[in-house]
Amino acid sequence: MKKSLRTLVYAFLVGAFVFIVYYVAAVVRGPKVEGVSWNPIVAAVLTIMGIASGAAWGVGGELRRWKTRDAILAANLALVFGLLFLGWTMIWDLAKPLNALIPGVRDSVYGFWFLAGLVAPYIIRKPGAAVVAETLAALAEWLAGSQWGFTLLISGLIQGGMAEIIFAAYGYRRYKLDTLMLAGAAAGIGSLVVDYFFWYAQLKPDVLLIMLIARIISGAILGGWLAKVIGDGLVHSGALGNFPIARESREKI
Amino acid sequence: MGLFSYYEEDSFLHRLNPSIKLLVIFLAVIILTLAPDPYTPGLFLLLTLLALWVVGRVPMRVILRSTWPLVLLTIPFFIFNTLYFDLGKVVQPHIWFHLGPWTVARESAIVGLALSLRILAFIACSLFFVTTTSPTDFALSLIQQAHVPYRFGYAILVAYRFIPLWTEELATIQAAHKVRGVGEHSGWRGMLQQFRRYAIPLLANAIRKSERVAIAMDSKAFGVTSQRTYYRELHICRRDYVFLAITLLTLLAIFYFLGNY
Repeated sequence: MKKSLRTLVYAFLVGAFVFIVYYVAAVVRGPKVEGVSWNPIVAAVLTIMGIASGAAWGVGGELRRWKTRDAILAANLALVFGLLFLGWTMIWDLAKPLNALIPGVRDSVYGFWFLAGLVAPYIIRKPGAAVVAETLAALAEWLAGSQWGFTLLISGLIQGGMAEIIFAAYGYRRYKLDTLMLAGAAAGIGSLVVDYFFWYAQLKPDVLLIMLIARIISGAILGGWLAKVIGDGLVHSGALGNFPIARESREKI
Repeated sequence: MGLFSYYEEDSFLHRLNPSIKLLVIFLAVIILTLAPDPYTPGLFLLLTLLALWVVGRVPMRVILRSTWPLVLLTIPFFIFNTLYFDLGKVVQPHIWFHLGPWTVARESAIVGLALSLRILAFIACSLFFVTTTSPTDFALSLIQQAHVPYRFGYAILVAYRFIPLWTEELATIQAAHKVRGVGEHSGWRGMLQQFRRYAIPLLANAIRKSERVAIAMDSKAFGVTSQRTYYRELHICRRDYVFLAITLLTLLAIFYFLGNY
């Protein structure tokens, strides 16, 4: 099966499976039997988590075909970004007053946290790069001692999985600004879904909607656009001479 | 910010299999997330720190030094969650007072407290893992027990080995900029400028280093075979199952007896 197709099929199947299980438990068998009542937000959250983890699962087999060079580069990039992510927590705390204006607007600085899962695929251009880099960056951030703890690892996996779907949808061939911005936006949706599960289930729906919009925009700009800037900056530095990204820019010249 | 780091010691907690610890933390995090009350995460937090101190023989000052800045960060989280709690879900809220557009009720304060204690419990889990797990064992166990492709397991080890080099690298770049007469500015804009000036060279050096290491590894035929043998082999033994059972039973017992208050 084609690599990109497998990612998408796995994503779809796992997402559909999770949705059907929730539907059966909450609607068909109902609150009286299973004690679960239907909630459209929960349904969407579970389905998106299923889609993202399905994408990560589908791409897992590809990892055995990576070259050593790509694996080492992904891990090192992830480590640097993981430490930057930990530092970004400070910005996140400084941005707190934004929430006093309109609750949820603070999430417009969230997009920075998707960078690892966008820069790595932009450079390495292999199936699985988004999932691996974002998850490893989350691992580094977790082990360095972030306040969000183990949930980061799940966040990283889901954010990477969502970005992976976009790269797969383009057949792992197109790595332009629009691809990166879409991938960032998708990661933004994934991030809110995980945060809802762990932290925000008690918040008002309108606050959640503002958060969702803020994260999609922020993922596209602070994630996607910035990833492109960083990637192109690295090409100019000449360090990426042996990677696909530099070959492409040489062809242009 | 106090970074977490491995604390070398030979205790029951240190000898556990890293993958099992990871699994236990994963399950604990899920159970803690499903518990809506403040008692479960609160008691779990105390027990984890106590176990780390008594069983894991990690000194109290190490525990406190790395956690206190994170504890301060949970206060704003508490305030946000208390103020924006969806009171529409509660049938008869016990309202304490009104503050501008916000209503503070007993129910929302309890939810805020529960969420803040949940953060602290997660931090305790992380601290437990990092202080009692040597990075080498962690990478080996990821390969041997969690079946992560070994190329990535070693890649993680390489990345860990490089951490001290980044500080040196940053100092070199700073010196190079100073020699060329580029000063450092203070304040917001200065911070942003420095981030731009340092990020690209740092990442470029990370890439160059990765490539050199990868060439060295390739030249020693790393990654040629799909299977490999290990000088040190980790196993899952009886103490791992005991630990898994004790932790989960304790957590479920707390949840069962206190979760309904």
